[in-house]
Amino acid sequence: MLNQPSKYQVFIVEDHLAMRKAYAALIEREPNLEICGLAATAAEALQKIPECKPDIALIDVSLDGVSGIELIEQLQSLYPELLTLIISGHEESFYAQKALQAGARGYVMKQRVQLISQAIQDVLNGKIYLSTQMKKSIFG
Amino acid sequence: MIDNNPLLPKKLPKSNLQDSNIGRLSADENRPDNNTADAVVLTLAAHLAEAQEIERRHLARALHDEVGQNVTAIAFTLDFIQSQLDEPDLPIDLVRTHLKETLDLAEQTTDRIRQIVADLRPPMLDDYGLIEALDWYADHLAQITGLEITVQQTYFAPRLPTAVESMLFRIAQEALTNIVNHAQAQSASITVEAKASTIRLTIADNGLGFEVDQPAASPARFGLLTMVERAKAINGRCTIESQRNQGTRIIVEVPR
Repeated sequence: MLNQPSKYQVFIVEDHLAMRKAYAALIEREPNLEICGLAATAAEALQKIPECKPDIALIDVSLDGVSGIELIEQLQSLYPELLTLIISGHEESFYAQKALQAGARGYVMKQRVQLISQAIQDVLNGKIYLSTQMKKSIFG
Repeated sequence: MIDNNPLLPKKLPKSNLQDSNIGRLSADENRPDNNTADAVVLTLAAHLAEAQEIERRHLARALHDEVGQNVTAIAFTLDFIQSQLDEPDLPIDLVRTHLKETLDLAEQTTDRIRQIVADLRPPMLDDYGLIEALDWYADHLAQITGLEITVQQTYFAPRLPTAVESMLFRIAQEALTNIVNHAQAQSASITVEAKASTIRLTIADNGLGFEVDQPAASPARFGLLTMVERAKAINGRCTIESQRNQGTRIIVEVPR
């Protein structure tokens, strides 16, 4: 029997149940990705992440209490190897820079459904994921 | 009015703004007599009520005509696609085209909702405070209008109460809107300075300027009076300095 190639483990932090399910469905369609855990709050994420040891965490920018960007700062100090990608409904021109400064490897708008999988793959491949417009604005 | 709110700072002491020959309008100075003041307050109240109604109408129209109609169109298209799934010869290209259109429409709709929400209350005002929100708004407005806008500040901590931050942001937003609509300015500046007992917000431009003594009932005056009233609501003071062809400075001082 051939060995199955191991899949990247993905953790999702999103306070909206329907959105958590939608992201999970989107990720499960990708042959090299697997959901290892879900959380609705930063506290829940900090509790579960050490158990499931994800390769990448998708984090909503707006969470109840501790924000997604604050969560990334905490995760970076605890698990510097963990890749993080912000999923957001907020203004990219403002929040993307904050996310990158906190240690995120990318910022993708929630409504760009077709780009979320691409963003995950790019970050897993060592790239920074931003919209074309934002890349121009930050990197020239 | 938010008077006596324990979350707000105490009332501001007497003005420490420098005297000048520039035309000036404020809550304390150039005070009209009682009858005129009553008329101004009544007119201002009517103007504010009308402005609120216009804002609600605008929001209702945006939600109904843009967001609501788009969601309805998405539901119709999804219903059509579902009906096609039972067809013996599934028209896959047609389904694909309709799905693509539906996704595009969903993206447009969420973009529009984000714009509406940001107009109502920019999320960065809550998340990062007044300075960051002003910085973002100045950038945003500069990109749309081409007006050169600088934001300068002296650091201060802790953050001001939420009600004060909101009101200062609204005053700056209104002042910048006036500059864009009326001043014909090339550049504008927003300065936030921390003094020992006050925070001073100044919005200045190099535009046409105006006579601050123009009649109280004139439309241009309403926006200025609204700023003065907003400042008073947070126990602050708003002073408007302007002269023809010498630009305008709006100075708001609130206690820390």
